[in-house]
Amino acid sequence: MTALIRLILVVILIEGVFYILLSLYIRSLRRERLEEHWDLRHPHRAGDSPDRREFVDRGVARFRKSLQSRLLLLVFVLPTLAIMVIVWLVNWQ
Amino acid sequence: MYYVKAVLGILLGLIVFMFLDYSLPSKNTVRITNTYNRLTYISPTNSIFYASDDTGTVENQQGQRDIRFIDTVRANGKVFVYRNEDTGWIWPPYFKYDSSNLHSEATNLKSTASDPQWVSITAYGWRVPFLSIYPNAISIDTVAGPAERPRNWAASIVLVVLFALLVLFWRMWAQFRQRTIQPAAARADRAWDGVEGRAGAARGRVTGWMDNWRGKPRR
Repeated sequence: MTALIRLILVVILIEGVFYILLSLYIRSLRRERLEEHWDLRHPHRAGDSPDRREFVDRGVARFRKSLQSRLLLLVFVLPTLAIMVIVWLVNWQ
Repeated sequence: MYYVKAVLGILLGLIVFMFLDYSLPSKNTVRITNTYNRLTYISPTNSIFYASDDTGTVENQQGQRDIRFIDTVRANGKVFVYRNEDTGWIWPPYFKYDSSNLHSEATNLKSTASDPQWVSITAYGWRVPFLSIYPNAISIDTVAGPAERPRNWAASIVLVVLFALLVLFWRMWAQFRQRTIQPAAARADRAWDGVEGRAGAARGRVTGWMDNWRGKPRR
């Protein structure tokens, strides 16, 4: 029983690390894409500026609430599901 | 330096390959000839190739464990011995705790050379007689004949997932480099130039040092 609890804790810890890294990564990708968007739409004001920063911050805030960003919670679901499938395949097949 | 890097790279590749070769499942078409359990001495040298002693088996005072074995014969006539141990909830992640059931399944499928029943045994690990280590059987499926070799889907899927993770880490690192490290270095350069009062002549000390560190010639 202690071994099972240890496994659950380790899996949650690894999934948490993955969740943090992946959320930083996809937000960084989104930020980059928003900056490019701004530069395309305002060719005469391309590059870093307070206006662009505000535009990007608003876009990232909207992205955080989107379904696409919330799908990242699958990081906690899919590996756990995979472990359950392995347990089933190995012990009940 | 080049040779040191090359040797270290080859060593790393070899370790990764051996690690995967040991822990990924492999399938063999065999005929089961005997199943039994035997008190087995586990020495400090080969103990990492056995289940850890808190998963199902108990070690006695002399360092022996009662381990189940499955004797088999391959299609080419050579013998092959599997052990049948629980892996428990730790490494390698097979989460096997049905070794008693697997053992009765194996006993049920025992056959003689005159009336053979061929089976495909999925197992991980190596058979090294010198170290007295045995692959751990995971599952047994009946097959039609000695020539039949079922596809090893589990290992293929794991390799694809590992490769995808590797690509993901590489992309994440590239993004981190481009969006966080390089701007920080550029800022440091600007600050440095401001201190020296030579804002016009961008020296690129930090970025230059980083390029140097990557093997690019210094500007």
